[in-house]
Amino acid sequence: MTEVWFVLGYLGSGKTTFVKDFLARHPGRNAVLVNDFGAEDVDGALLKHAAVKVESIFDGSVFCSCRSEKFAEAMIALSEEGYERVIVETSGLSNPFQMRKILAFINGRVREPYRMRGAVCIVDARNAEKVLYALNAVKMQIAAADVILVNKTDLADKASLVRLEGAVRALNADAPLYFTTGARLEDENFAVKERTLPAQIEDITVQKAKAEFQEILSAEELCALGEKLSAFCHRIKGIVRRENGYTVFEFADGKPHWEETDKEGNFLILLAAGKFSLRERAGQVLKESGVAYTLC
Amino acid sequence: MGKQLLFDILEHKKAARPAWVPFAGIHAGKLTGATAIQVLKDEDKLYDALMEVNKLYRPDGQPVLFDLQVEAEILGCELQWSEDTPPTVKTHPYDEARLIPCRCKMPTKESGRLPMILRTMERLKASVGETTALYGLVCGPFTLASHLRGTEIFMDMFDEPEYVSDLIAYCADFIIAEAKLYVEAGMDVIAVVDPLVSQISSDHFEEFLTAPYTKIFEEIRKMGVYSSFFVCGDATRNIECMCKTNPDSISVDENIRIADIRPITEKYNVAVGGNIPLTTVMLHGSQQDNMKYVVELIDSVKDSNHNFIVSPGCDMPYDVPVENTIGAAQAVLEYEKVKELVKNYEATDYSKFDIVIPDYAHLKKPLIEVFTLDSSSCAACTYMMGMANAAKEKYGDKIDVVEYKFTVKENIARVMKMGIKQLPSMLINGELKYSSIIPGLDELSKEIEAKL
Repeated sequence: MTEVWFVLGYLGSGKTTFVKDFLARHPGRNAVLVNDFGAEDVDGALLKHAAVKVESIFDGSVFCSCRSEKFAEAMIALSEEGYERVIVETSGLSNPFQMRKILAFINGRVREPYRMRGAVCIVDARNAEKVLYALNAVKMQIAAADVILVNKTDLADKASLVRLEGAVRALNADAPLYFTTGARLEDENFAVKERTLPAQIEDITVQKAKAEFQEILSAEELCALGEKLSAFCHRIKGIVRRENGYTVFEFADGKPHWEETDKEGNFLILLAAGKFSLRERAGQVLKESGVAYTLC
Repeated sequence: MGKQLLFDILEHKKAARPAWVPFAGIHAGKLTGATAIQVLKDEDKLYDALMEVNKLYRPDGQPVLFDLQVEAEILGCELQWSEDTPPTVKTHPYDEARLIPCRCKMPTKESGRLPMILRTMERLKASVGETTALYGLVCGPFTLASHLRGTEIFMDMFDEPEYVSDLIAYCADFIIAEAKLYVEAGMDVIAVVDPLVSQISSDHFEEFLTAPYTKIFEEIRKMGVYSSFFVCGDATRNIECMCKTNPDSISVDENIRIADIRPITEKYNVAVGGNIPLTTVMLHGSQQDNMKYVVELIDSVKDSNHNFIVSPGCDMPYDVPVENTIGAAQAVLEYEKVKELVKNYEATDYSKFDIVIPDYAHLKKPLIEVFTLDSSSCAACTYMMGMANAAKEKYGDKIDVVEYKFTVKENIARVMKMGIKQLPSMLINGELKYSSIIPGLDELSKEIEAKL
């Protein structure tokens, strides 16, 4: 019976690295279905293993989650070819629940049904917070996973890894979770379950606030504000008045960034995600700083 | 019926039945032997394919071109073409820098593939526009923005939301300009197709898409035509936001249960369309599966003659068997008859029927047997039966012609006993010659003469 592995994860998370490593450690008759337009060209590397068959499917549009005919077609064809394993490297925007439904449908149609061996979701520690913030597909991929690899941990700070673990666990409470640097799955002894998306995944609440200043703030005052606000804001950016004109000011990565502009203004836009009152917290910081402001 | 019935649905009036809009984009090519590339680039091949769709599937409304890459191509994206799927965007011109395209790139009648598309629209309007509503499809502003910027756009939503808003605003203006050209070419409905909407939260929808979409639908209304908002994937949580932007209808795929979102769409008095599954039912199911699915879909929607359009979940796969769409069409157009048929099909023990199969080896003259859903109501069946009758007229007593309608229980038993999988089908002396595809009289005559 051919086993199927789903490799889930957003673009650049390390899916191809995982597949290469996996194949190197699992010689035999393997086939790989790649459904990631624009992904690194895996063919050359993988075809060194003579038994590996690599097939690319684009399904018409990488963004269109409803087009699954090529996936179904390829899986039906591969079922006849006697592979030990089929590894499906999915599109970064795939809906894995839909893929499982299609697999169940295929199993009802082919002579040799597939055995689902597991869905491995690879999460890029560097940008996971951003993609979780933006994309439902990434939430679904984590929720559908039988095992989760938080990858590239060497490129992320400890605090963000802690936050990420919390976010992952809110979506999938029981799949084994490993922190890795090379997308390697060391322990393949995990349970494969029928999984569903939690009925109520709350959207990460996006809050926006605009702080307008009456007077010119010094660079020191702006930096001090930026530092305090960055504890709960993921974006602090605006146009501020200077003695000799106007400048774009942004506080990011723990430091100020200045850029010339021909636009006028004296404000900061604050963005935050989370369940708290941004205006209340930002108001407190601004009040403590002693600057004259209005917050809207 | 037809076009007016769809208009009634889009005006939220009670109609005689749900409307029927098959999204035969690249699949249209299958009906005439054209590839996806040919129907998306060649005016004559596209026109011929669309005429065949109109003839066989009897749509109340039909799209002219289902390709979400037309706009991206005009704005500088390179496309990767395929023989049996729509093209994909290969390069994103703004993936390296957060730029907004020049206003000078706004579409004109000469941009990209628009000359071919506009001419086809005008020709189709002249041919079937009296009876069929025509859909002009445009790529939604969020998906178009992602074509231009690539997947970086999702990072921008976090890092540079103002840029995302500006880019989407540009894309919205672009498609409004494109929609004006389509309306001038005779389109009755402008469908804005934005698969990526299902990827974002309702908060993000409100932040980035509420304003541009409200503007788009307002502008379409000012053009004097109807609007539709297509989405793919599980966009359940965004349905309310979508309705609030005030389109005349929305269209969803199999990831959403229409019965679940119906209370929301009814609250905002927006028609809803969908959602025959593309792969499991249309592509790999049987004709009976398609009829059954559509009957059950209609049954699942409360007050289905109001604000409801039956359609595939999205652009149909190229290779959907023709008879499957014919079955789906029949289930919408002749709901009561097909419901009874499906019930009979499932509940009756057909092995009890005493069906006598002709002794094909010893026939005195050629026997043409036409197995139809019902030649009085199914267009493809009408055409196939019409061709058999034309042959009868030509050859008179030299041949025998018989029709077996699937609405009669004995005929269902006969279809089963003879192992016929698709309707309509034509057999000559017991040999299956045509399934769903209608032969020309010359071709059929050759087959008959070989048996005389």
